Amino acid sequence: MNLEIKNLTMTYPGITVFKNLDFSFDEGKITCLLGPSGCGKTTLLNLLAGTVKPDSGSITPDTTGKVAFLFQESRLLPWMTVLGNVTYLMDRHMNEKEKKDMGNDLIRRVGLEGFEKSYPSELSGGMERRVSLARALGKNASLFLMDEPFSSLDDSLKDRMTELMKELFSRDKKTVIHITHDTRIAGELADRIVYMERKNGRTVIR
Amino acid sequence: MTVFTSRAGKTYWTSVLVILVIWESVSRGVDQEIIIPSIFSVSKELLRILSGSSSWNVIFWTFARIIFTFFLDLFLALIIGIPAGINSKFEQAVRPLESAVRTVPTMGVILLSLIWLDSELTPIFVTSLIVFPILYRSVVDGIRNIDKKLVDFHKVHQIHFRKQLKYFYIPSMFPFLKTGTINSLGLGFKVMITAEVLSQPERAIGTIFQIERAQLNTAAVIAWCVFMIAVSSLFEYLIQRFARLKGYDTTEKRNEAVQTAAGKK
Repeated sequence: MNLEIKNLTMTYPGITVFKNLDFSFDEGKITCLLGPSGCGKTTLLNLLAGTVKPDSGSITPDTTGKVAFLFQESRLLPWMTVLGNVTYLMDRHMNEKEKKDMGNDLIRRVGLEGFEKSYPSELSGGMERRVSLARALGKNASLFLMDEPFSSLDDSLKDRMTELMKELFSRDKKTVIHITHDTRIAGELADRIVYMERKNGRTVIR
Repeated sequence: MTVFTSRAGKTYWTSVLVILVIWESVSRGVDQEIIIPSIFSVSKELLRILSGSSSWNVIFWTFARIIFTFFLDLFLALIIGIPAGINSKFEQAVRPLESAVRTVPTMGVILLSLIWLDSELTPIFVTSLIVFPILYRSVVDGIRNIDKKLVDFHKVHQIHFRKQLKYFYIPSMFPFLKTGTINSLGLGFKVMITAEVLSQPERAIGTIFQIERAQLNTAAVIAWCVFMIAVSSLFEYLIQRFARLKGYDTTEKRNEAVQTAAGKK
């Protein structure tokens, strides 16, 4: 089922971000959002995550709580091991053994086998991002929202992460919305590229 | 046994040895057991305390009071400190009470509580007033220093509050709570015994202090002091161990990470 935004209006004091916005994101596809800073990309992700409510309009189906979010920083819990972080978002109805098995499998998939008991401070920046990616995958969410998760990494690491993401998300047919400023990465990763820009005092998507 | 062989351990135990040598020298110089007893006399009294069942009875009751007071204050500090840490207006409203409790003279509180309360409740009430502001401030500072980005992370992923409390809020506050706990327990021991000395509950270390003083048994008074120092240090050690065991004490890990990052540059 596609993610449908219908007639959505969102304003902050003194600024209209979206006005009567209609848009649709394809299910099981990776969509990359490109656009200048301040055009409302992060606001759109927050609306989709349900942490910000629109003034009017709707987003269907309701994705609140069913979202996995990757931020610009890894946002790992520093007092938890890699395995602890990876299993943190897993379904609370799963038992500890199931969580551990799934966590170890995800750690292996992101290429961090052998680091299960390490703490985030013992990892490099790239390894931390891979842990946050594994943690997001562990949530088994229907929608993955990514706010420039690799912006602070160097080019070779960005390429490796992009390759890894493409492999993981394409295989599981996940719906992914990924903000990036990097057109090269968008070209390699996306099934669909969308441009956002400010026009006539509001943001339009094309 | 790294506590004896490490560099810091060696310095520590050398310092202890120097104190003992000075103590014994002064004791021999004064040559009056009633004023400065020898190490041998104090050790003998310490052995008597540790081998007597009646001693353990009073130790139990004093500790029970301290533990009860600590957890009561911790509970109150969390109940009042968490909203105060989140909402600055609430914190402003609580501030006059906090200032009053923090600055009131201990002896004044003891004297008032001797008038208001019976001898069993006085030590608990007095210690509570001293310990509460320390724990309350730890909770408020702990909440204020929680990583806002991690708060957003939990909000986005709609993590159950009980899970957030256990795995996020308490570990986040832990460095502050740890310092607050060590400080409040250290002070709590001193204040509890002071209040017990003055209020004279039936079974209390403070009451025994007063009896030993009345009998001019200086060695026993010092032996009780040594015992309390040892117990207080043991508590501090156990809290540190607990923090490391649970992985809450990230100070070392952060330091290592900073050093690694500096090395990379």
